[in-house]
Amino acid sequence: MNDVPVLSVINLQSRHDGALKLSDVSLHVAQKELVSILGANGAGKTSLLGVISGLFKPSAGEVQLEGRSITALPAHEIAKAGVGFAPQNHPIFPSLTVDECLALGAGNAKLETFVLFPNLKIKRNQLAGFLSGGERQMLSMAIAMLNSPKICIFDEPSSGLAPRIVSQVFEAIRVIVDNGVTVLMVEQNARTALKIADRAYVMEHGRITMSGKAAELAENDHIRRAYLGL
Amino acid sequence: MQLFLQQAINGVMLGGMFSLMSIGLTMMFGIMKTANFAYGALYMIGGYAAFWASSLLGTPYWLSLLIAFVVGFGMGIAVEVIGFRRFRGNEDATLVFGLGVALVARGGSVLAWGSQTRYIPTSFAAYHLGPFILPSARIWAALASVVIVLAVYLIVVRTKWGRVIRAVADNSERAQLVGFDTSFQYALVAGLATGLSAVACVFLIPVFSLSPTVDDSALYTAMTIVILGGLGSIVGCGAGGFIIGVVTAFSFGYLNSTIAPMVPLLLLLIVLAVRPEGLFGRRERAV
Amino acid sequence: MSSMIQTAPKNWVNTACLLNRLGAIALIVSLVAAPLIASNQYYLNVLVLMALNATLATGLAIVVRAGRLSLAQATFSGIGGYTSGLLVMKLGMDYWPALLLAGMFAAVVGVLLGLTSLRLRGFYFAIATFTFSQLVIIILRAWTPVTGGMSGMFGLPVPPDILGISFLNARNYYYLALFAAALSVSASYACSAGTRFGRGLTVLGEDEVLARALGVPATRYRLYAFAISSFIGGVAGSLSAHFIQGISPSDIQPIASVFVVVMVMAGGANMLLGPIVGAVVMTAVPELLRASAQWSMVFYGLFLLAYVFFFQNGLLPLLQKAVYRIFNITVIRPEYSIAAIDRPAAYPTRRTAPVAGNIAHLQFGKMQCNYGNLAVLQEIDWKIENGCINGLIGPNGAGKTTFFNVVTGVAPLSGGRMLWKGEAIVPTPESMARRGVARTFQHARILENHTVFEAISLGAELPGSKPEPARLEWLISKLKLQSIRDVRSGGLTHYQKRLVSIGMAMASDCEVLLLDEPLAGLDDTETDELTQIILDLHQAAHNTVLLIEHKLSVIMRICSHLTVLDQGRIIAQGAPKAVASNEDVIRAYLGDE
Repeated sequence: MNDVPVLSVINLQSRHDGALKLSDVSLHVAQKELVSILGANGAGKTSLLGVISGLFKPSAGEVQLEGRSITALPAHEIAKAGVGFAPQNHPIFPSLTVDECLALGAGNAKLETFVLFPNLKIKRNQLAGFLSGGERQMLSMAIAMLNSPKICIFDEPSSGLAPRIVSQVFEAIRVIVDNGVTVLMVEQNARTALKIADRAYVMEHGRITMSGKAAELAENDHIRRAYLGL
Repeated sequence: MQLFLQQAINGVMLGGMFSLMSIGLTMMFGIMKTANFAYGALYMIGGYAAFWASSLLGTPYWLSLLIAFVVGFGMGIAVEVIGFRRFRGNEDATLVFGLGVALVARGGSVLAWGSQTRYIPTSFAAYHLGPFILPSARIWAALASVVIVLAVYLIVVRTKWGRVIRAVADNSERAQLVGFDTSFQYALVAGLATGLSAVACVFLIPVFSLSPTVDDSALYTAMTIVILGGLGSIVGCGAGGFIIGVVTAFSFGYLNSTIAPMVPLLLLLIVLAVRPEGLFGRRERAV
Repeated sequence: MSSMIQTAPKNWVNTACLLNRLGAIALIVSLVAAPLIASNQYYLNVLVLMALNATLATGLAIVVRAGRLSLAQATFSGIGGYTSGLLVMKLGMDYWPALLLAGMFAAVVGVLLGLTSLRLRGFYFAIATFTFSQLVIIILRAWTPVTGGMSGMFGLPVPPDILGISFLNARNYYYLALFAAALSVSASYACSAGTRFGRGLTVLGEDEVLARALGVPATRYRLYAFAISSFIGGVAGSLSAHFIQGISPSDIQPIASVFVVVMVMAGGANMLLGPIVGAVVMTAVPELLRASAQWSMVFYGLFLLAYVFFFQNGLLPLLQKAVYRIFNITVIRPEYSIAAIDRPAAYPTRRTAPVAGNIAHLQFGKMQCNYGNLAVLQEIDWKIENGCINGLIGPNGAGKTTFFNVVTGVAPLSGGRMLWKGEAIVPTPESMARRGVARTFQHARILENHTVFEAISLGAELPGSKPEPARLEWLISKLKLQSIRDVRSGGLTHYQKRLVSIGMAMASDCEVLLLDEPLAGLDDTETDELTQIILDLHQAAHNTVLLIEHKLSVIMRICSHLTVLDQGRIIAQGAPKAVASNEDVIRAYLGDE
């Protein structure tokens, strides 16, 4: 069994417009794990993913993929190295059809996607811009998996979706992990995220404040307090 | 009646070449969101490249065309890498950069090559079809233009690279996250766009001749076509090209040559006032 | 507060002021004295041309500062020249009234052009003006019986003597042109810092969204700007035509309008005397170098490139910065005189504490907001409690900011009703600002080029009330901005910018204050401080506050009412404690159990 974590984040610090977004953030994701990052809006979760994926450069710290430093690489190189990132609000390519979006990857990516998301197979010739919210999220996740990445990163996969669709999305994520893909997921929807994740980290104001096995964190009162201020 | 048909034929041929002239501009708008004010100037220099190749090196017509394309391609990449890339997102700076390049190119061309009009000799004769005169250079140029525009359309719509380019145009950030080097793609598109415009310039030499002032009319004709058709739409570019070609031919055929240029301009102003997004363009959401 | 506060020593401000004034005086003196040095006929002609270019460029700068780049200024000068030429030659009018009419006709055409291109911005607008200039040239070329066609008009008479001063003398003409330039500068001043209209126009050019939120009537102001700018263009053109004693379409090729743009940008559009410096440099240098038309073109092109690569604000600001650096001054831009007064004990407001039973300022009945086919907000029934801090929370994408946008008239009211003080209304940004609704934005919108004091003062003035110094001072000291009141807002920290944006919103003594995530990106200390400030401000002003926030501990602490939005609908409303234990709310945040 390989000991090197698929993804390691080491002492990351990042600023935007002068404001401190991340201070001293460290975490890791081991192979075939589903790790979730929880936290309220503004906690820095999206900033963290932005740095990992290469869209922003940190002011200090390092990001490693299977032990190899990727911090200095441009975003498209990081993607080719094996990071499949699906940003928030499911951005897709509205003027391409579902089929064309999937054809951006290697040949068998399309087949695998249709097995995982049969809905998308039905809609394969529809323009991506006209899909429903849930379908767009599925497509966005599929796009993140196009190049058989070493790790998939999903940013708030449930945001803006009706509760019924949310459970479908989380089911799909669990299936993806069961098929051997490593996943890092940022979620505001803490209870459900903790039900399907193996481990979790909690972020507040740009720092990691708690971490541990998902089952243990789910019992924790502080989580409830942190979200509702009770 | 004869005048009508002759102008109709002229208009259609002109339209094909106009489409080729404008396709680069619309591609830069659509894919790179760049308003390239240097387009006319680079178009003109591409034409000069062909002229000098032909007159100094004696290259045959097809080779001069190729040289024009290559020179245009190089210039396109240069302006993208040196300027437009840097000012992406800043509309005003993009505009000013384009204007600056256009001024330097225009002034420089006159200083270097003089302002007299030039022609590239072709060995084509004219066909006579009944009462109509069809200069064969124009026919071949028009046909070639249509073929090229069609080819570009098919490439963009059917090939893998076309999909990549459309993805980059839709959402360049997400395209990066799928592993595509958007900077490289932008440079490629800029090169292609400028190269094609250079070829169009050579095709249009028999119609408009070649001189340093050609950049102005090329720029505003291309702008008219692109806005009429809808920024970024290749189909719109084709439609717009033919509409403007026919309108131009009829205006020059029926009105005196001082007033005739007014018609396409009025058309453009009306389009801007009434439906700025053009025939096939997408309306921007004003949030 | 952090140690990053930039203090602005009094003597810096005074020195900077002094330097600015000296510079202006130096420029004026050299312009007036120029004919004494350059006294031969050729140079005098160049000077006249330069002065008229300065007039033209100053006029164009008015429109550029309002946020639109026009490529038609030379065309308006041509219209002016042809108009006065025709009036004098064909109708036998006296020159001076003809000059005035030339300007007015140009202004009318300018307004027409403005009306057709109202919806256009940036590139599209530039193209529209460019097309217009081509059209005018074609008309001038074609309408031979009136305009003389391609060859134009010649033999235009020089203006008649005034008080014995003959304008056949180039030197006198130069002073006439200089006078026109001075008037142009005064107009430019009135369209910037000098009048309320001008200040609104400037803000419109800097940040249109913020300007409209502050109540600036964007369309109307822009049309005024076009009218004034084209009037100036027409006058300059007439003076030019009657100096050269002829005019033809080739004088106003589209490239000529581009040259005017180059002059404006070269000198600096944002400084009053910038275009003058630009005109001097761009006219004099090619002349001194005896440059041909082509070399001039290359020179202008290179200048534009240098501008866009190296010094994006123009030569005058560059010069100013260099001089400041010699005197060791940074970040100052003193345009208003600074006279701090003692802080009044209480916030000056017309309002008193709200009485229960007062008609709610804002009420919504089944309000709906659609973007295309998508319903972003639906079934919003809400009677907002007067005089309270009302919290608005919900997950990402729930529609909270869209709700603010509907209140301020930026997002469409697609269905249902919105009531202001009991009356059904259709909100627009200007009308809501005038009614007393002020807001802050998720990404702090402040006026980066203005000082803190100027920005807050504009926040009071633009929605329509007179800026009361007492209230402004109270706000500045309450927001702890005294030490940075004369610092350029663009150089402030993230937290300081937030404070300024709140100051701008409160400066007009608003009835309803909309705060959109004011605490985002702040650390713990700053969060506590700003929360206390928001509380204090509210208590003093007795206004109605709507607060969107994600820091729920803060919400629970300061809000007396809480509304929860999820996917465009209200899922809970009431007292914070009750709302927080609501099952639906828990599910929206923490997911299904």
